[in-house]
Amino acid sequence: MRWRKVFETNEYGKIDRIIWYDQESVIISGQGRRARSLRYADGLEVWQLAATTTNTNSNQDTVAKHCQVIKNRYDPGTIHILSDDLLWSVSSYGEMLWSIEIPIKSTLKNLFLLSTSQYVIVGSLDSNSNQLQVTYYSKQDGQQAFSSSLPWSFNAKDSLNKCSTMNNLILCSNNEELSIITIPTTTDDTNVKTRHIKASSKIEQIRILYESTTRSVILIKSDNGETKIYQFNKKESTSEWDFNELNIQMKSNSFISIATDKNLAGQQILEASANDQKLNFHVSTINEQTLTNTRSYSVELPENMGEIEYLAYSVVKNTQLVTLRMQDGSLLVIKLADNGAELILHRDEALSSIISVETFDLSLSITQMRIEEEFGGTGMFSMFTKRISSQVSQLISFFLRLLDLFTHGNRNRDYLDKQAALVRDEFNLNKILIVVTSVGKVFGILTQSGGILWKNFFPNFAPFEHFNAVHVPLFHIRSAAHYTHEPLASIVYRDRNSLHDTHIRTFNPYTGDLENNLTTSSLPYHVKRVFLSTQAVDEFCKVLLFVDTNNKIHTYPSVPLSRALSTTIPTYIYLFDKSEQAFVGYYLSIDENDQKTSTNLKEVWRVSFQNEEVINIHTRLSSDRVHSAGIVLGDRSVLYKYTNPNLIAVVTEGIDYQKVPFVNIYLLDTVTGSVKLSHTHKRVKSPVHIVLSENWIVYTYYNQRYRRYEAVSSSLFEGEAQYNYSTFSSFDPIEPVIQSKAYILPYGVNAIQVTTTEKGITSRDIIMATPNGMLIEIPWILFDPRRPLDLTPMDREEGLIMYTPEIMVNFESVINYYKYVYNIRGIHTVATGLESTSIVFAYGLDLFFTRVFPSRIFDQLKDDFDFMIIGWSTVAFVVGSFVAKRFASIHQTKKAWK
Amino acid sequence: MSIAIVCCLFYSILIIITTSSTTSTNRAPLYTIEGQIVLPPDENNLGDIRILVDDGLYVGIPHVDGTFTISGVPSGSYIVSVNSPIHIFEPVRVDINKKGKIRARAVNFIEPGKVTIKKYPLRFEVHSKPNYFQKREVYRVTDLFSNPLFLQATLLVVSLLFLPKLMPQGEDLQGALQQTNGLFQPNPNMPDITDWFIRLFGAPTRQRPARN
Repeated sequence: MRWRKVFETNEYGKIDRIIWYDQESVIISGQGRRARSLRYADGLEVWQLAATTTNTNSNQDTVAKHCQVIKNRYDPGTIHILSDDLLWSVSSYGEMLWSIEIPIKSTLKNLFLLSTSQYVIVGSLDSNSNQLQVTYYSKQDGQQAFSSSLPWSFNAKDSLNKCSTMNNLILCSNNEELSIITIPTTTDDTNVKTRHIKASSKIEQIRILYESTTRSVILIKSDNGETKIYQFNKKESTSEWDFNELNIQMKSNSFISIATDKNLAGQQILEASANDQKLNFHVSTINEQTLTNTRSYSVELPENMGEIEYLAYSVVKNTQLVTLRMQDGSLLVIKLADNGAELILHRDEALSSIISVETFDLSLSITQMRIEEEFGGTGMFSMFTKRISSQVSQLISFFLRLLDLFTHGNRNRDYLDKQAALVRDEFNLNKILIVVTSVGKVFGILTQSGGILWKNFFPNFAPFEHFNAVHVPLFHIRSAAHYTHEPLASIVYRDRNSLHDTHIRTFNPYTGDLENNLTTSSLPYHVKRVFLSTQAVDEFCKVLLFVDTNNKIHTYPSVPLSRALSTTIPTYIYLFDKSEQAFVGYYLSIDENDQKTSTNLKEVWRVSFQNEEVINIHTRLSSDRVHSAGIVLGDRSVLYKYTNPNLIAVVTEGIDYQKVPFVNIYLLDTVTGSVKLSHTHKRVKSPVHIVLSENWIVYTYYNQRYRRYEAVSSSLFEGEAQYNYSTFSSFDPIEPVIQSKAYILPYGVNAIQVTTTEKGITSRDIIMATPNGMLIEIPWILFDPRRPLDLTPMDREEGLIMYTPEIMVNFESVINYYKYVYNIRGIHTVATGLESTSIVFAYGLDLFFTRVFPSRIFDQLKDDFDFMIIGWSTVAFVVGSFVAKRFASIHQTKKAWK
Repeated sequence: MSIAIVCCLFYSILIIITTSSTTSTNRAPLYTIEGQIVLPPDENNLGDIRILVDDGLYVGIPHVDGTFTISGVPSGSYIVSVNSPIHIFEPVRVDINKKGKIRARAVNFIEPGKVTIKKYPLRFEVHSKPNYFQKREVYRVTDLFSNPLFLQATLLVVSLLFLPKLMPQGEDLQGALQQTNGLFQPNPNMPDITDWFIRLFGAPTRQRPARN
């Protein structure tokens, strides 16, 4: 890759159209509000122009937010942009030619933009009189020249979806008929001509394949799968067009693209279709009415990529190149040559749309398994025999390995290395990341190399909605701890075509192979929420529990609820009711002898929000461990933490009676429904990023009043005494003491997460992804709400730092160094076998993986530790002591002789 | 101090007025922020540089000569920062008032109302280079000398060597020294482990002459 420019993530950065020139390309973005030109050589900007005024009435329907960009066919250096109510023209060398406002009303919408050598023509729909007003503006200065109107039968939305423009034609599909409306281009003739093409059934789509001043090609697709291609030729010295059908046999799922080249006589037409793992191409030359010179190519794809979503065919310096975007987000470039088609580029662009991440431990090696087996027996005798036999087998395998090394040498080294990459290392540092992307492709990624181990594509995939985001539940059905059984992971997703249908796919995270017994696409109920059972049922497998729309709970696969859930610890479930903006808590009563596989939920509490909208919730990581129950203060007393595992953080947004926007943060106990913490922030803008761990919460937001990013940190404490030191219950009458502090952040925040370690002994760091591309690791003690305003010796004894409002970021705490990553949406942290080490995986547009050491490397030797020096000095000491002993004895004998 | 507060208050009132009045009109004008990035002549690498307005609300790309324009910005107050992995630039707050007058001032998060005017069009010069790495601790001989424990140890060794020389070489002292030496002599009555092994396994050295 030569260069890359990352635009805004908001609407302003969304690209409407790219117009390619020889040295640079003009990119229109932000719904026709900005045009910028980038050089191909280095990606630097040549010029940038934007609309000079904006419409501040933002409360308009989607039809109004419409933009159309065209390159003037008669003057290729001029680009006309129609953005809602603004019409402007720019030249390819960066000059704003003119810009005019076209008033719009709710009944008057600007829909079509056409251009001729003299005029820029805007077609606006007047829905009161059902007429299309065609206004002509001078191409030179934007002056309105004249206007006419013609009857129009479509409404605004249909006009946009069913119509296309081409030169001076508007093509509209009306069920089985295609209307071709010719807009006159000069003031002399004002006749609007309409002609029709009949199709065999309802027209689904019209696509313009090729457009020039004299010739155009369009494609009409009907809903019975029939595709027809028409060629339009301009009549001499008029503004009218002749058309004829091209006889080309097409499959229903094929795509068409047309390329022209100066060297080619006519246009070349490419038909492409995907068939399982194969792409078929047919290239022909368009010759008046027929196609000649048809050649066929086919290329094997490395995996199933679904259907074609986008196709572009181009001939560059006599090389035929086909660029495709597949349904799974893959970008393919295929070279067509005389000796066949060749796949020259394949990029998994789906990796930039990750929505769920889970990590799996790698499998144990055979020797590690044997050690596990060694301690597996029960009786004294069996334990003894097991131990002896396993040790003998270890010895045998050692000798076999030695023998193998001598006989084969390094010949199968590559194979062994590959095997070793899939085996758990000594400290469990390397893992497999399972990532689910929003297009339905699931990847297994090895953390040590970033290499993709396997990928699976689920074509009919649609994620669940989760507040204002999308979400795909991904579960560990069986972990890697049970080495006799393969581990299993499950994803649950909706069907793209019928959103009420839920699919479950269970696979082995090491290979991606589907486990067909636990894979289904038909659940007889509409799923509202899914979660994992607390108990393993058959063969160490956990089951999925579904709550349906009737608040009934089901298990999949069907097992009695009493086996899936603990009968000693009561089960509480909370659900969110979007229409009432309320959290509802349910109690699940399970009888030990009950064999029911589904039961109704019983409502026990309800927390509803008035005048505020719940925008997000945040739960703590399931791997969150609390090592110490309290903090030792400077005076040697203990302040006990309030570590309630049932808390969730709820973010709400609203506007108060003074029209001031506010954001509220709550900590809600999901067992009792009681609110343990509530903060209100006025004049604050979401998104609110939250970290909830142990007994504390840290969240960030944008303060509109002071125009800066701020973080608030709160800790909950039980106090000087602990209510129950062995177990925690939400029903215990504890009122937590809350301490809070707010801090100013130096940068904005894209995502935030806390490090995780195995036992939770290591101190915590906050990992923050900033919009400027950095991943910053900030120690939690800088966010500590107990940081005192004036430092007493007691505080110093405890190790607290004095409060300063600003959190200073040192560049040494940037964990991605020079490799800046943009548009990060989430960070995933996992514990490793080493207590000091936490794994960090940041995902978004870019992916970044590293290990962090929040309390430095306290359980490892430094990597520059010199084993040689230690070894040699030990040897030297041993030798030296022998020599010294010898000298001492000589000395003694000499002394004795004196 | 009080002036600063008044200033701050005035500023917030100003903002409220501007925000309320823009909603009443139908069309609002848009403005362009302009500036230049000045890099050291030997590191003319503009490819990695992004200009962020309000942390990515608008993103600018530099031109070949280091200048940049960010167009289509409505009136308001923005933070313009230049981001590069290899250089640090100081961010600047840009205020565009209702009439389109643009002024630049230093970013101050703690006192947002404080005004330190900067030059406009903006000019970004390299403030410093980021230091992402901690210096690795290497073993050096000089470190050894600077260690106070090492000094103590050398002093002890020196005294050990020279103190006996300084002492009077009396006969009684020699005897006393010999007595103390006796303390470190191995006790002849103590069973030796080599003897025990010889007794247990037999001494090979003795067997050999027997065979002869």
